[in-house]
Amino acid sequence: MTSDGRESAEVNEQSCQVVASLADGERVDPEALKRALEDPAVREYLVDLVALRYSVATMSEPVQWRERRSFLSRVGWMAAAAAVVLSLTAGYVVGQRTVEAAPAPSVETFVTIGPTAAAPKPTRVVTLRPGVNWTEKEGEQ
Amino acid sequence: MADGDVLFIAHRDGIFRYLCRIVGQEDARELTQEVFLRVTRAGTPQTDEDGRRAWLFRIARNLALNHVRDDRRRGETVEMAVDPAVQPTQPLATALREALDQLSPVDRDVFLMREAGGLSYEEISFACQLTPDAVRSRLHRARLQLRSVLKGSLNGRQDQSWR
Repeated sequence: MTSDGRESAEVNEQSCQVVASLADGERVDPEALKRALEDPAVREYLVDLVALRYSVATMSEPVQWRERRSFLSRVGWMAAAAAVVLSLTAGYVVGQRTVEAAPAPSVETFVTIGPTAAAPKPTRVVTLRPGVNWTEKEGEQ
Repeated sequence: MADGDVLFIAHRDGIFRYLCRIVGQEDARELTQEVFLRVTRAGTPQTDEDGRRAWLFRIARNLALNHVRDDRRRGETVEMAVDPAVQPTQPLATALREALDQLSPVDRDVFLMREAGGLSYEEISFACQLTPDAVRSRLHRARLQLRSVLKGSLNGRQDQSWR
């Protein structure tokens, strides 16, 4: 391809992009559009572009959203299921934390001494006598 | 009416048409609902209407890519044929589907978002994570390729429509 040919191809590509921008609702320089539309090849490209768009639009039947209700109900069921799972999880976590945070039960012994409490009676009475050696020896009791 | 419901009513057809040409009609219906389930779960972004539409198509595109990838892993082929009972004979539609299959996935997405979804270049650039110039370029390339493949069919359509 000659340099003129390359230049022509570039100009053509730019022109095609200008008319494509027009067809796509993008901003277009009016002067550039005017120059582009003078080229029969660019006009043909614009026509093909419109035909291509029409073909894409009619490729398949428009979908009937009969499942709209089932979609919402699916969302509803999932939300309900999520709420149940969330509550169970939250309950479990709160329960765990409560158990961990509670202080260990302390065991305390209370001895109530009433006003009438008295010492038990002695089982053996040792009389203190002065001068007696209280050191125990073998054979003695 | 909740935001999700408003979006569903406004954009379900565009999303479905886009997905339909990638994964087939039956799966497109499921995936369209999946798109809006995700919207319900994730909430709607605080942006304008165009931004929301682009965001929806981004979700749809990701779901479609995952779907196609999963099908490939399972060794299944994506069946795009429409029930012949519903559409008796549409040579152009068949040719168009085959031609779309020949495009690169990104070019096809860009083209379908524009033609089936009606997105602007800016919206497509967000949905496909491309620059607007790249969108313009890919769209032009896709159109040239489709035009080349469908040349005879498109002329037939024109003759039929404009006579």
